[in-house]
Parts: sequence; structure tokens; C-alpha cells
Amino acid sequence: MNFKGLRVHRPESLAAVADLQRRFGDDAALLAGGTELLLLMRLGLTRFDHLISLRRLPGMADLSVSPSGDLILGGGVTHQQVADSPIVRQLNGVLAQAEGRLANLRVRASGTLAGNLAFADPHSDTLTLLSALGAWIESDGAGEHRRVPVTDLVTGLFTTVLEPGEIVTRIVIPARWLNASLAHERFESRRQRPMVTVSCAGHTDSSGRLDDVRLVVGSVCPHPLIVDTLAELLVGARPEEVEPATVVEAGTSAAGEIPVRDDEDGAADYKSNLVSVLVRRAVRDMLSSSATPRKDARMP
Amino acid sequence: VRQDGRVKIRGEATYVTDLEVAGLLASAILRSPHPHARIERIDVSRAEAMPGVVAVLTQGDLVRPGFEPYYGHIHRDRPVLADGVVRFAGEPVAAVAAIDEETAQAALLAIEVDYAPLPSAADVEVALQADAPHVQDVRRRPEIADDEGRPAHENVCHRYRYTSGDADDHFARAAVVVEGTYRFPSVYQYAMEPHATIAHWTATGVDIWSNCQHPFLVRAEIADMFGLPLGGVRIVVPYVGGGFGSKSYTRLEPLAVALAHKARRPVRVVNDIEGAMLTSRRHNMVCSMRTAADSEGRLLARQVRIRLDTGAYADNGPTVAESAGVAASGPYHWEALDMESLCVFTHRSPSGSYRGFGNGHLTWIGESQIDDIARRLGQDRLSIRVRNLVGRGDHLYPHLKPIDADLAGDLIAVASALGLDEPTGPYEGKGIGIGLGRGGAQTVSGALVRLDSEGNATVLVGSTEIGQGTRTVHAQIAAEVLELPLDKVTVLGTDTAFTPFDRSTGASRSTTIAGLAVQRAAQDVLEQLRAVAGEDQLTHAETVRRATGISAGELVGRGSVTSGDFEWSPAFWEVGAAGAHVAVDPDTGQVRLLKVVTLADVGRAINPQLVERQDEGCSAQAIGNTLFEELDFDETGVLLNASLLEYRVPTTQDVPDEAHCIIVENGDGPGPFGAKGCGEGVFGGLPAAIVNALADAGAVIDQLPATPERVWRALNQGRS
Repeated sequence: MNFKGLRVHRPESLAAVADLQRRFGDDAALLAGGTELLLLMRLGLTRFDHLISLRRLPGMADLSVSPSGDLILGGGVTHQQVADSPIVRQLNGVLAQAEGRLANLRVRASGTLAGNLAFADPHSDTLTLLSALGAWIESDGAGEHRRVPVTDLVTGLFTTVLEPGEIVTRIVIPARWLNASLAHERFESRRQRPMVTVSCAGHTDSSGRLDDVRLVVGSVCPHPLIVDTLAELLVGARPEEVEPATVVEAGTSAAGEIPVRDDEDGAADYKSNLVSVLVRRAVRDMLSSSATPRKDARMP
Repeated sequence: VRQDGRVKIRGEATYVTDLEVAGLLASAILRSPHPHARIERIDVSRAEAMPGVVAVLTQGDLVRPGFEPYYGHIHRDRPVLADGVVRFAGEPVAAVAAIDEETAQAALLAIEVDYAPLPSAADVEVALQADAPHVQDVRRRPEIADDEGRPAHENVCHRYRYTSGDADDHFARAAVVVEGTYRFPSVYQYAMEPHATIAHWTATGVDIWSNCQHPFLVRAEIADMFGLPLGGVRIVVPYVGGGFGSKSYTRLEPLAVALAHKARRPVRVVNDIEGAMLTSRRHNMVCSMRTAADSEGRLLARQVRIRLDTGAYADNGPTVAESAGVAASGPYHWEALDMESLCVFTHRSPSGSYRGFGNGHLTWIGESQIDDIARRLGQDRLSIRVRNLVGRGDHLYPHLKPIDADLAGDLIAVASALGLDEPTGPYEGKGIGIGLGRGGAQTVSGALVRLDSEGNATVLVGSTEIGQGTRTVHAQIAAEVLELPLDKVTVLGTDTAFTPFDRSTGASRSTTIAGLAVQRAAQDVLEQLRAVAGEDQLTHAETVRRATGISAGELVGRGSVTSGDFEWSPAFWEVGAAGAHVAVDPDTGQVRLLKVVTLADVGRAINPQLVERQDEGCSAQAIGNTLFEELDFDETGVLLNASLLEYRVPTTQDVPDEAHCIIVENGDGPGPFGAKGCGEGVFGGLPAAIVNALADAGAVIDQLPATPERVWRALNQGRS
């Protein structure tokens, strides 16, 4: 379809959004970056006469650090803004770099992190990354304000716990994980989308031992999955002392935990192999940056 | 520098969809959801009654005296709109002309069609089974027989057969025989500008603006279909946003002409990307091949069975089957050949031309078998080829032109630039490949050069500028002959009302064949200038004024090339020699191209920069075909990835780390200044080089595209 006759509304308060939603009901959709919604409309897969842009709501452009050190990303913050942000680059260079590599410049410049989470396409780097970083979203809808961990947000393919009309107003990455060592691996399919994504975050205590790790595998399954077995293998260890065999075991056991199936991206055994390989690489990378925060030495 | 560079970069170049015609209507096409079905009922009355709708067309409207509503340049087998049966999912069933596109699109929803689905032959192997559903009425293609003279399967559209020597005997006593079954994917040509046509009936016939590659062939076909004299059909070709064969022959023109006829107003018909994918694609193929050699590495015999999927209509399939059959031998001496190439109808969207067809399908297969033989005999991959290559002046086939190039010299140059013998790192590999394509197509072209009284020249020649730079090269040829600065020469797009006949823009023929006509036309002007000026030192402008006797006026030179100018077919052999250095990630199968070497054996490089760009562009496409591009059809024949989101075309991220183009100028081409065509050969050599480099790295591939998953499996198989 073309977009003739389509009206875009730009309300400046949550109350105004609610008014518009009441007025237009199912004829209206919420618009963030539009990279998914406008595409679906163009392909004729869905149709709305009214789009309610969320860009002008208060706080949507917020990109700051809270007094307690948490990173606040307003609901309107785009991938490219995260990639370019001096704050993010200083606090977590891996996150900035990963956000700067996904899709293409047009998508990054327009697409928002919050919109990406709410759309819940599993083929998403952001969803996997934020799950590993222990992030949560804050939302408003029907007069209620709530916070939902990203790991609980997505329930399946393109489905979330968000209610109709509920708006993700911001994403919060807690200081503890923001400052942890993060590694991200992705493998792109022939269809130009991430087919496997793996994010691994490791937190070390004052003695230099790992006291917490989070490993998340996404894209290959309907929603990101946390792999708990890694903590059993690594917590208490010094990153530089972890045996290569342990890293290999981490990959193998993760592959055993992630359910995969044949689809147009590839056969199940190949995808399991990719999970194992990418987990291995992500864990190795996480360990190497945990051991040497200034990155002046590599793992043996 | 390209002559059209400035207008294109500034957005000032005019394409079909930029044109305005008074009263122009938009249109939309209703396509079949079924790969094979009988149309039980079609009712357009609700659509016709909608405000803003001017005409709704079905095939029934075209069944009238004077109209022959079928087209196809080899077999006239394709209805303008479905003729009671749909033969592929996406086949146009009805079309709407309306005041704007949205109205036309909305009207499609009001057309009622009842389909009775039928079983489909959705795959080239299924289509050849004894009980396979028939795609076409056999009467629409000539009777085809097998070796014993029995009728071939009804789904065989064309059969190429070539035998020489006693192949069975050589296979029986050869020291080494390699064999395999290989698969080539269906691929989309992806021209950035999809097909677009405007048709406008006038008092004398029909005017057409279309982004077609072969306007004169389209003119003849439209004239024939709509009962008009050739001169009653006028085709104007503005700038064209890429072709690669996707705009060869007749495409949307019959539908636009028919719709404009019914609407009694000019109509524009435009494809979107999905429509373009369903209009033309590259043939997917299954091929089994056996090659025999003696213990010294002398090639003895080759047997090939090629099955090309041409989809529901013949289009250019028979030519593709012939080219594949010819390319299957590779450029080598043989004691015996046993080749069969079948073009097969299936219930899939039609296949047509795509850059380097035939050569692109077959060369990687033959060349991987040569490498396999070298490996088994412990011989060097370069020297086994050099020993068996056909030399200059010798015949590859007795009925075709003797080889007109130094093939061994070309291949040695590639191997040396690649560093074939230098060691590689772990999970790296190098490979070379060489193939030949038939260049020039039919050698009929004309040109006019008009030199005006200010000393500026205008070239009228029927080649279509599809991005390859033909206008620039033709301007250079005229400028060279007339000793004019390049900016004094203008080359116009084709208008069949004024531009001399040119057979087509394809088969790398525009520089060589049309260029020869331009050179001759310019020489004709030059001779006229000399005759007028005599011994006097005059400028061109002064000479033209003296010749005409007035201050205005012009001299017109004519040049033509006819089939009689060439003793042999093809007009020239297009050499495709290439090398590749790859690195494979053993854990994921991801392939990285470290270095690619291509070779353009062009006789004379009229514009070396354009030669290099041709090789680079063709490399990108060849890399896509080899490593990741594929149109996916389901088991009934429905195209699954009909968008650029799901069908990946090569981008700047896919080009090799290092690319090197060797230009060979032996002055041995039949074109102007000894030139011969280029730009398609890479499709033979490069896939072969990449496949051989992958095998060198440990991954033996028999199915393209060589996706990471296939490479990973091949590596695992090699390791176990």
C-alpha cells in the first residue's frame, strides 16, 4: 500500500496519547521508529489510518546516568544514538559497538531500542544484549506505571506481556551490569538477519574473582534464553585461570540447553553448532576483558 | 569519465517513470496465487464500476480479429494475461487502468476469480517424471525427440544434443574418471530499476516508452501481436537503471499496449520488486557430469546431462540451454563428447537471460572436475589446464568460430597475479577457473553520425545504455575517428522512429558490433569531410558549411554491420578467466574472499576504466550467485522470498578484500580498433575459481550457493 490519507499524530503527554487511542481505537497504532511498523504496512500486512508518534512524550529522548549509576535510555532513543553516545561508549563500549553494527544505518538512525523490544522479533541483537545486561523496561498504560525485566518481557514470537496501549517509556540498565564485562556475538543468515545472537556478561568482585555471570542466547529461539549452567562453571574463578576446556564445555552445554529446529535459516544441527561456537567465543571474550580491564593483554 | 555520469549523479537523468504523458493512467496487475489452476470464473464488473477505474483487462478482451495475444521470441507460448489456465504463482490474470495507483490497487480487490487448483510440476526433476502434470499444450512448442527418435517428455521445451567420438570407449579405458551431480540455484538479476512501460495509442499506431534492452525486437513483436506495421510501433528508450538480461526481449510492453487500447488512454505499467522477480529470473539447474583423463593428465571424454528449469514459458530458455551445452565442454580438447542439455517447463515463474548465462551455469562444474583430476593424478592445476586448452586458431567445436584468444596466456597471467603456488594459511585455499561464452549474438547493427555546422557530432545507435557505459564508449569511438574532443560528441537513447536498427543489447555485443557500425558511420563522415576539404586546412565546422553552402546544415554518415561481415558464429569468444583466494571459518563455514583476480581479454580496451568496472560489477554478482543468492520456491512452486528483505543481493560488504582486474589487449577482436566485448566472462571464471579455492581449503562443493551451512558440512565431510 502507499501511505495516502494516513495521519500521524504527535501528542506531547501520556494523557493525550490515551485520548487519541480512545478516539481511534483499532484504527490507530503507536509509532516509535517505524522501522518495523511502516514496513508491515507497506507490505500490506497491516493497516492503520492513524499513527500516534511517541517521539514528543516527555523523557523519550532521555539518555543519561542516574545518581545510582544506572543507564537510562528514553523510549525514543535510537540505536545510532546509543552507538554514538559518549556516555555509553565510556560506560560500556561493547554495547555501543554492537548497537552501531546492527542492521544498516537507516534502520539504526530511525529504529528505537524500546520499539525493538516491544516488537519482540527474536532476530534482534538488542533483545539479547539487554537481557544479558539485566535491563528492565518501565512502562505506562491505563494510568499504571510498572517495570518489567527484559527477560520477562518477551513471551514468544512477536508477543510480549505489554497490554494494548501500554508504552515503554524507558529502558534502565542497572549499574552493576553496566560496568560488568560484556561480550556479544552474532551470526547473520542469508536473509540478512541475526540467526544466532549470544551475549555474555561477567561481574568480578574486589578480589578479581567472577561473582556473577549472565549468558543469554537469542534469535535462534522464539525469545532469548538465559543459560544458567555457565554460572556453575565460572562463579568463584579468576577469569585468567579458566581452562580452555571449561570454555568449550560452556559452549557444548549451552547448545544442549537451547531448543532449535529446522527452518529457512538452516538445519537444527547447524544452528546448535553455531550456538556452541558463538557461546565459546563470547565467553572467551568476556573472560579476556574481565581479566584485563584495560585490554592490554590477551587470554593465553 | 562517463558521459552520463553528471546527469545521473545530479538526478537529472530521465527514466520511464519520470515521464509525463497527457492523460496518463496508472495500473495494477492481479496475479495468480496458485502455481497451476484452471480459471473457472472471472468477474470484473464490480472493479469496472468503481470510481476512477477506466478499464479492466482480461485475456478475453484480446481475443479479437487482428490481435494475436501471445508472445515469446522463440516459442510464442505466453499469453498477455492467463488464458483460462494459470501456469505459475504470480502469473498476471487481470489488469486495471485507473486514475491513480491506489485506485487501481483497490480495484484488484474487487475482481472475483474462481480457481480450480491443479497438481503442479514445481521442480525440474519432478517435471520430467513420467506422470508429471504437463505445463503447456505440446502444440505450442515443436516436436522434440530423444536419441531413438521417440517424442521427448511433454515438459521438455528444448533439447540441445552434441556428440563426438566414442565417449563410452574412452570412459572404459581412462586412467581416471570423476563424476558428480551438481545443482545451481534460481537467481534474481536485480536491476535497481524494475520493469516500466508507458503505452500510448495514436492515430497511426502505438508509441511506447520502455526500459527494454532490445527495443527493435520488442517493436517487431508488438507489431505482430497487435496487427500493426513495424513503423506503426514506436519505442523510445530513456535511461535504464540496469538490465543484466532481466530486460531482454518483451516484458511488460504487450500488457501496457493492450491496457491502453482498452482504456483509450495512455497507460503506465510498472513492476515492483516482487513483480520483477516474477517476470524474469535465472534458470536453476541440475547437472550430472563425468570427465575422463589418461594417466598423463590428457583429457579424453566428457559426458554431461543438463536440466534447466525455464518455468512456465520458454522465454530465452532454449538459448540458455544451447549456451550451457556449449559451455559444458570447457575450453579444452576432447577425444569424445556426449552432451545433452534440456530446457524444461515447470510450474514456476519464467526464467530468462542473465549475464553470462550457460557459462555461469556450467563452468564451475567442469572446472571443479579438472581440479579433481589434477588432484587424483598429483598434477599441477595450472599445467594440466595449459596442456589441454584449445590454442588460438583451433576449433573447440567444428561448427563454431576457431578460438580467437590466447587462453593459456590468459590463465597463466591469472595464476601469477593470484600467486597460485604460494602457500596459504590454515583453512585458506586458492583456485583458478576458465570458461568461454559466445559473444555478439546476431551481428546486425546500424548507426548514423550527424556532424553539424558547429562541428558537433550526434550519434544515433540502437544500443541501450543500461549502466554498462555504451553511450560513453560509442562517443569515444566516434570522437576517435573524427578527431573530436569527447565533449563534442553526443550519443542519444533509442527512438525506433529515428534510430537505425540494432539487433539487441546483450551478449557483450554493444562495443563490438554496434560499435563497429558507429566506427563505420564516423568513417563515412570523415570521408565526406576529406572529399569536400580536399587539400585545404579546414575545421570540421568550416567543411560542413562549405559542403552545404549555407551556414547551417550537416553531414550524415552511415555505418552498418550485417551477418555477412562475419564468417563464423559466434562473432567472438568471451574469455572468462579468474582466480580466488578464500579463507573459511572452520567453526561456522563462513567464507571470506581475501583476493579475487579477473581477466578481461578485450582485444583493445577503448575505455579501460569501464572495462574494470564491468569486471567488478560482474564479480559482485558472481559472488552473490556463488555464495548466498537464491530464490526459494516451495514444493508447489510458490516463490517464498519475493522481497529484498528476504532475498539478499550482494552489497559493498560482500566484495573481496582485494580485487585485481587484468586487461589483456592483443588487438584480436572483430570490433572497432580490434576490440571485443567484456563484462560477462567473470560469471564463468569466478564461480569456478571460488569453488576450486573452497575445495583447496577442504570444502568440496557440489551445490550453489555455497552457504556457510553447506561449507561447514563439506568441511566436516572432508575431515571425517
